[in-house]
Amino acid sequence: MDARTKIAGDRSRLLTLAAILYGTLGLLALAMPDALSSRLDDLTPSPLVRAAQSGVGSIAVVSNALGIAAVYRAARAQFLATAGLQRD
Amino acid sequence: MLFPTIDFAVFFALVFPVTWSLNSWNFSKKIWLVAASYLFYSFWDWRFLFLLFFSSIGNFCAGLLIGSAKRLGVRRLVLAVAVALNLSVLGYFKYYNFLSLTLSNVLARLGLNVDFGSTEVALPIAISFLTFHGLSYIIDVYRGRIAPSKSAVDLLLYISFFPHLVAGPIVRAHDFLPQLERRSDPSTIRVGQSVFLILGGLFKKVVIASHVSTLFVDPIFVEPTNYGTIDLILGMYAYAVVIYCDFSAYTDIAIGIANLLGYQFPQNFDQPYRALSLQDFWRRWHMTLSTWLRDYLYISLGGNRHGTFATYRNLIITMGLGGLWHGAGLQFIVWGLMHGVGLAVERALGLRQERDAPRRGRFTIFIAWFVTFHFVCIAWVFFRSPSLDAAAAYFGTMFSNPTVPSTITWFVAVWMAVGFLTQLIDASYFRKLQGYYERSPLAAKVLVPFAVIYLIAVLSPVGIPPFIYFQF
Repeated sequence: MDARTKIAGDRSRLLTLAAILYGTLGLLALAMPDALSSRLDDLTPSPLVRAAQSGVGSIAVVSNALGIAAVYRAARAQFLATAGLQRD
Repeated sequence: MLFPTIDFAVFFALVFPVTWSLNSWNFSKKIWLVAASYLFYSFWDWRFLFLLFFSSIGNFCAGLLIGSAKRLGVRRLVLAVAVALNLSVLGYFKYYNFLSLTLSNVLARLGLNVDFGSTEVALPIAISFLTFHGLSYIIDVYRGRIAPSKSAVDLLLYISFFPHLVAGPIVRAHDFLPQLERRSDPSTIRVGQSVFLILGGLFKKVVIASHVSTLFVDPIFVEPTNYGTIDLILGMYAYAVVIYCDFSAYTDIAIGIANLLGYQFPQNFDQPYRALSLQDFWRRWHMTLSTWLRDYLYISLGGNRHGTFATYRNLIITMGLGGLWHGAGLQFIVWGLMHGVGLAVERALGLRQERDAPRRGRFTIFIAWFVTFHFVCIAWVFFRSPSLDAAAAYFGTMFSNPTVPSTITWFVAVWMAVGFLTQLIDASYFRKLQGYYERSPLAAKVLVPFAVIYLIAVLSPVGIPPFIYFQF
């Protein structure tokens, strides 16, 4: 394998990894925006936290409009009820 | 900062791109990783960063002194001082209160009331792992297995690297330091294996260990006398599931994360409850600890070089000290001594060779597995109990409360069964799945971890308890 092919292969591998990492995190944020919101609410207020809350708020609006967040809430409630566990 | 949290996801989402962006500037990358690791550690208690820093620098200087000394006597002296300093730090933080209390109790029985006081200092998280890594480095330098590191940054990173910092695996200096000398090679990233280790680890910890622990094991071990024979027997099996799914989860995630950053860690677990002997068990359970104890303690004591009796003695001392390392309490020493005596008995009876297994009959193999598994489970009761008296109460009640009905629920039983299933599924199936994953299109590569983490979030308990090995 020549050096140019190896560099191209390495770059492709890292881009794939980045896509997996950020794609997964992005989808999770869209599917469960409530978890992000409640974590941010636990932090000490600061301009950075407020900016993050605003960003997560936008994600939550999209998620709720598409009905994605509701699917998680329903699945979670169903699981807790079936298992006899206390609610979040 | 726990692995299965939003905080860690955000932390890693920042560390990953910066680390690889700096890959062409290896020194800067290492400085960055040290800073990230110190930030990671500071989430527990920033004051112990000084301990982490000065411990690393002390071992770095000791390595240089050992490497530059011409006379064996000087090398030995430096090694002895460095080992003593490492152990005295560990002793002060972890064992002073235990020894003080034990000694006071012994003297009180002799009619002498002496109070040695207590440190009244919180135990720094992961102090035992820091000590193991420091000792590994200076002993390897002394034995000539590695050259003393010329870079303090390399040693700071070796000891503090965040994936292994808190609960292992114990990475040897001669395995890790050479990886720091050059830029990381992205082709060494095993994407499928790393993703599966991380996802499997999250599932084992968040779903299996957390539910079985909080709903069944913890209440039983808090007050065993309130439970009947069936629950206490099941509680013993359940803890075997919990500690495996908890600890192997941490090291699986650590190995996967390190690999995503371009570094290789050794395997730490290999389906330990399939073991057919105690020796086989220790080749599958916390493998980096058992090889550490073998190389730095058992062999230093003389290993098997001085006759049969000395070999048994060395096994028992090694495992007894291994038990004490896990915690400052008599119950941990008893746990270690049980394993030490068990290993010595196996050796005396010639029962330790797992490679003989194919030549044994099925019944003999079953008996070997049954005895090994139950020995390990019984020993776990000492490990989990808050004291030796509590362990005695556990076993005492186990044989005296046969009529009390069981409290186990179908929900706990299902997760216990899934936990044991992790021991039965052949590792080749996981390798096949990893192969499919690596060959799949990018969309599937993203959807699989998303779907698994989504499922874990749905099935998770309310709140995740910390990893068991954090206390060690």
